[in-house]
Amino acid sequence: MKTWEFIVRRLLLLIPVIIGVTIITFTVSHVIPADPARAFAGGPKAQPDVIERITKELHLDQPLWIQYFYYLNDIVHLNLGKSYLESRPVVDSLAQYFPATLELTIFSMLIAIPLGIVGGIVSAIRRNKLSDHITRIIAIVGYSLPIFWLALMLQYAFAYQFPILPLEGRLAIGMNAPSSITGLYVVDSIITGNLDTLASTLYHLILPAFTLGFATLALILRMTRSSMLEVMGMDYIRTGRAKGLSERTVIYKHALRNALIPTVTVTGLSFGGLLGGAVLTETIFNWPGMGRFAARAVLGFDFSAVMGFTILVAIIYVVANLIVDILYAVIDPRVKLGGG
Amino acid sequence: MGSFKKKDMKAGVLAIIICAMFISIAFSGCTQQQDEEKPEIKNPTTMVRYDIGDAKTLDPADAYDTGSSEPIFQIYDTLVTYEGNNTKTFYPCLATDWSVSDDSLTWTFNLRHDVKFSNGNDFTAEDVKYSFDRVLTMGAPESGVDWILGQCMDTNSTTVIDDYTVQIQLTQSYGGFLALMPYTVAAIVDKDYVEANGGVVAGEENVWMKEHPMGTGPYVLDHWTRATEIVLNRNPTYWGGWEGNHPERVVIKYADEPATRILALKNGDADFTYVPYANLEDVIGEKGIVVHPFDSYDVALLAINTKATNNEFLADGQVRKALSYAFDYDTAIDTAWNGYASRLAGAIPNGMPYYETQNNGQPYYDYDLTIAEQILDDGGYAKDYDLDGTMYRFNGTTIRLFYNAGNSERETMAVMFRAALDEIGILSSIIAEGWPQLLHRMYTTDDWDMMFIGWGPDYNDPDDYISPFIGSADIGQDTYNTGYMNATVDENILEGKYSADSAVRAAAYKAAYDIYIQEPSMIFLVQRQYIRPWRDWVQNYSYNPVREWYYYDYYKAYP
Amino acid sequence: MDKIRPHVKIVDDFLKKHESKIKDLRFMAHLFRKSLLSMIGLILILTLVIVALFAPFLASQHPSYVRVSTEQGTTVTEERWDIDFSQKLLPPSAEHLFGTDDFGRDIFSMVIYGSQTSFRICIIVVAISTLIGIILGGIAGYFGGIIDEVLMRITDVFLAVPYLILAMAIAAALGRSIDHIMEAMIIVWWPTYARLMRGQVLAVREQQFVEAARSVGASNSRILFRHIFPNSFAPLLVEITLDLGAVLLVAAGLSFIGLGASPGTAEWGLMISSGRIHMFHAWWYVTFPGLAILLVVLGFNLLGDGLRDVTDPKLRR
Repeated sequence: MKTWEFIVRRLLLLIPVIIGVTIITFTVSHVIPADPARAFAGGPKAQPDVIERITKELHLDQPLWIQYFYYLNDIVHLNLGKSYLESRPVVDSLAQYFPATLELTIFSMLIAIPLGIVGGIVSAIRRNKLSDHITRIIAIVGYSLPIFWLALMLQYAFAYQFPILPLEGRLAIGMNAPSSITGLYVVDSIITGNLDTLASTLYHLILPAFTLGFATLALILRMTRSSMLEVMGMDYIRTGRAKGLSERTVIYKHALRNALIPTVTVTGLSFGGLLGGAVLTETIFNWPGMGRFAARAVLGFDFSAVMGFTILVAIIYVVANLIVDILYAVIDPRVKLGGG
Repeated sequence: MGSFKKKDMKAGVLAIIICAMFISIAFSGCTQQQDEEKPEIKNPTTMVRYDIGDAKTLDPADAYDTGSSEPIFQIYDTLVTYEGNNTKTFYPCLATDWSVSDDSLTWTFNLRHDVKFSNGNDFTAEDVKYSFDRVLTMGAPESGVDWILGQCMDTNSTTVIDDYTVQIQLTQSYGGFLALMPYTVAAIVDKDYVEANGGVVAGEENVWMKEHPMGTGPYVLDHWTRATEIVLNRNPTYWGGWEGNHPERVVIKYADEPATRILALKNGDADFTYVPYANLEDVIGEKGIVVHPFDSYDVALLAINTKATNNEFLADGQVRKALSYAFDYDTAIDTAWNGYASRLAGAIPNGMPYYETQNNGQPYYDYDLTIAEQILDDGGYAKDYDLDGTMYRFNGTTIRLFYNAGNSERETMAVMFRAALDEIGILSSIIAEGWPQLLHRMYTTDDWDMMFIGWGPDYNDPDDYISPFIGSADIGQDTYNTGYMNATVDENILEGKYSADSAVRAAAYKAAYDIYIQEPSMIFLVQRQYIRPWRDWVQNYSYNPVREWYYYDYYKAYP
Repeated sequence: MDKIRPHVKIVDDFLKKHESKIKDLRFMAHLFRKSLLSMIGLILILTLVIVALFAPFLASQHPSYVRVSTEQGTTVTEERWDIDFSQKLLPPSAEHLFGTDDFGRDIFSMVIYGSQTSFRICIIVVAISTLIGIILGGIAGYFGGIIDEVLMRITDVFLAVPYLILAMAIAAALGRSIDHIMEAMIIVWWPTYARLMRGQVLAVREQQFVEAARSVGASNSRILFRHIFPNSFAPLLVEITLDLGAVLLVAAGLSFIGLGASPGTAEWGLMISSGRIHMFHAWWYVTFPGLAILLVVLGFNLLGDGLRDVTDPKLRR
C-alpha cells in the first residue's frame, strides 16, 4: 500500500474514533444530575428568567439524543460550551492554555529523549557492570514514582531549601509575556528578539519539564537499552565485528539505527502519558496549561471544560499516533503498511 | 575493554551521589533555613499578592465574586466609599457630599469636578446615570449581581440634574441604601467608552467590558493573563494624585497550591498571600512575616432542609434544636479554623449594627450532647434501630452532610460533626460534590439534608444577612431554600428592611430572632477572621470587610 | 519427576502430560531466582501481601466500618477512623512510627491499612479489565471479520484518550468514591487487554494444533477455551503485573486530585493530597505514603520485568 493511501485511510479512520470519544464525553457529562444553567446564572441568587433563557440556550430542555446532535454540531463549529469557572467559551480557554502545555511537553521530551537514548546506549554497552545496574535502578525508580510526589519533592528541594530554581509559573512575576505569535514563549521570544523573556522562560521550564519527562526518560532508557542489547546480539552485528569493523562503527551505524525503531514508537506512545502527567505537574508548578485547567475543572465540576479538554486531548493523541506510525513506516521499510 | 573500567567508577559514583541527593531531598523537611538580617525589599514599588482562583470578569456591572471585585476596586471608583478599616462612616469619592429627603426616598449627590477617566474623557453626572441604568438593563446575566441595586432602584430612579449633580429616587424606602453605593456594582463607567464598545443590550453580557476596563480609579490594567496574573499600572491622571507613597504597580498572582503561595511569601516574592487556616503554623513566627487576624463579616453556616417531603425528622423543629446542641463549636474553631474564628450568635455577624438584638450578642446554643440526647428522647426519637450491634435513632435513616468539594474547612467540620452524631445515635454520611450539583439539589430536586455553606457581606447592612437566612420564600427570601416559614418572623424582617428608624429596626430584629432561634433552620457555626499574612515591609495596610483591598494606600518600606 | 511424591494415578498422569511445560517452568523459576532485581520485586510484593493480610496485627490503630446508605439507595461500607485533635501532627516517634496526621490519626496504621485499599483497587481493576479484555479480544481475534473490525474501532476510541484523563472525566461524573474510580479505570483499561489478547489469538490460531483440532470436528468454543486461551496467556501475565503498578499510580493520581477516596479514608494518594498542605511543618505526612506507593509500584515493575525476561524466548537460551 502506498504511503499516501495509508495516511488517507488512517485519517478517515480518525473520524469514527473521534465520534466515539464524543459519545463517551457526552454520556459522561449528562449522567450526573447538575444544574449548569443555574450555576451560570449566578447560583443561589439567580433570577428565574435568566435561568430559563440559559436552559433554552443550552438545549437542556430537549430529549437526550437531540442534545447529542446539538453537541456534535457545536463541536464541528468549534463550540465546546462555556466554562462556568472562567466565564468564557471553553475553546478560548483551551486555545490560551494549549501552547503552554505544548511547550512544557516539548521540553520534557527534549530532556527525556537525548538523556534516555544516551543512557540506554551507555547502559547497553556496559551491560551488567555497576553503572548499568545503577542506571537501570534509577530508571525503574523513575517510572515507579508517583509524579506528583516527585514534583512536590523537587519543588521543595530546589525552590526552597536550596533556592536555585524558580518556584512556579512560566515567567518571572509581573513580566509581560512576549507578543503572542505561536503561544510558545521560547519561540516567540526568539522571533521578537526579547532576551529577557527567553531567559526567564527557559529558567522556569527546568523543574516542570524535568519532572514531567522523568518517567518518559526512564522508559526510553529501558527501551533503548533492551533493543540495543537485542540488536547487538544479532547475527549481522557479529558478522560486522568478525569482519574487523571497529566497535564504534558497529554500534553507531547498525545497532543504533535499528534500536531506534521501537524507541520512536515508545516515544510516540509516551506522548499520551505526558498529556496525562501534565495534569499533575502543572498543578504543582502552577503552570498555566491545559492540564491545570482540566484539574481545576474536574474539582470545580465544570463539565463542559472537562469534556472539551478530553476531546481535544483525544484528537491530539490520535494525530500524534498517526504521525508516529508514519515515521515508523518511513524509518523501517520492512514494516508492512496497513497490515494487522 | 579496559578503558571502560575508570568510566565505570565515575558513573557509579555519580549514580550514588544522585541517589543520595534524592534521599536527602525527601528528608530535607527536617532542616531549618538560615536566618538573615532584614532582607532587602523585593520590588520596592510593586505590590504583589498571591491568591487562589482567578478573576472572572473586569466589568463591574456583572461581577459578583471576590476574585473579580479586587481588581475592579483598584480600577474603578464609586460615589461614596470607606476608609481604612472603618465600615460605619461613608467617605466622599466621586461624590463630594450628599443629602436625603425627609421621606428617605430621594437622595441627591454632588459630584466631584475635574475627574477624568483614564482615556481622557470627563466624568459627569451622565456617566453616573448610565452606569446605574446599565446594571439594571443588562441584568447581570453572568452573575445576577444586579439584584443589589434592583432592591430599591429601577431605570427611572436616576436623574441628571446638571453636570455635577445627580438625584436618585428609590422605588421603595430601603434602610441600607447608602451602604450599597461603595460596592463594585455601583462603580462608575464611562458612557462614551461603553457606547463605542458594544453598548448595553438587555440580558446580554458585554464581552469587551469584561477584559477592557475603563475607570477613574488609581490604576489601569496592564495585562490579565488568565489563571496566571493581573497586572495594574498606575493611572497618571488619577484625581487623587500621586503625592506621598503609593505603589507604581500591582500584581495579583494566582496559584492554587498553598505550598507555592507560602514559599512565595517566605522568599519575598509575595507581599501578601492567602494561607489556608490549616497552614498558618507554617508562617507564624517566621522572620519577616506578619500574621494578624482581622474581624470580618464572613460566616459559616450549616443549612438544614426543613421540608418534610425530604426528611420527616429534620422537619421537626425540636430535632433541629437538638442538632444545634450537637455541634462542637469550640473544637471546630480550634481545628478547622486554627483558632481564627469566633462564635456566631445568629444571622447577623458581630460588628454589624443590631448584633446585640440576638440574645444580647451571646450564642444561644453550646455543645452539649446530653441536652441533645434529652431533647431527642423527649421527642420520641428513641434509639431503637439496631445496626450491627449499635443502636441508632430515626429508624436508621442516614442524614447526609453536603459540602462543596475542595473546601477543607468544611470538610473538617463535617468529619467532626459526623463523629458527634454517631455518639448521639444518628447515622450520617459526608458527601462532597461540585457546586453545580449542590445547586441542583438545593433548588431543583430538593434532595439534601444538611449543607455546609458560607456567606460574606455584599454591603454593610444586617438586612444582607437576616433576610436571606431567616426570611421565608413567601417574602422572596430563604436564599438557601430551607423551606423555613414563619409569618411573624417575616413580618418583622420586612419592618426592619424598609424602616430607616434604628429603634424600630432593633425591635423588629429582636422579635424575629427570639422566635426563630427556638426552631432554627440553620446552625450558626462560626464567624471567621480574615487573615492574609504579609511581609513586614508593607506599611499602612488595614482590612476593610467590604472593600477588602486598596493598594493605593499601602507602600513598602522598613519603619 | 520421580521426586514428586504423591503416587496418585491422576496426579501422575497430569504430570506426565505436562512434563515439558513443567520443565519449562522450573527453568524459568531458576532464571528468575538468578536476577537480583526480580527477586527484590518479588520480595516487595510479598511484603505488600503480608502487610495487607496481617494489617490488624501490625497496626496500632484500627478503623471501624460503618454501613451507610448512599445516594442511589444502596448501602456501602465506610471506613471511619477515630479522631483525636490533641495528637495532631506529631512527628515520627516510637509510639507513632510515621507520625500523626491533622486529625491525630496514626500514619503508620493508616499506611498499613492503606495497603489493603491499594491491593483491593489494583487486583479488582486489573482482574475485571483482564477478564473483559480476554473474552472480547479472544472472540474478536478468533472469529475475525466484522466482529473484529467493530471491536477494534471501539478499543481505538478508548485508547485514544490517555488513561488518567478519561478516568478523570468518568470519575468526576460518577462522583467521588473509590468504587467509582475503580469503575472508571476498568472502563479505561480493558481495551489494552482486548488488543493484546486479540493479537495473541491471531498468532496462535494459525498454528497447526488448532488446524488439527478443527479437522477433528472440535467446536469453536472448545477450541477457544482449551487450546487458544491457555497458549495466549503468557505475555498477558507480564502485562498484568506491570499494570498492577500502573493502576496504583493512576488511582493515587485521581485521589490526589480529589476524585477518589472520601476524606478520612486511609488511601495513599489521598493522604499525600491531604498532607501536601502541611508539607512544611509535617513532612512525614507526605513522605511515607509516597514511599509506600513508590515501593509497591517498584515491586510490580521489577516483578513484571523479571517475568518478561524469563518468558522471552529470545533472551532465554
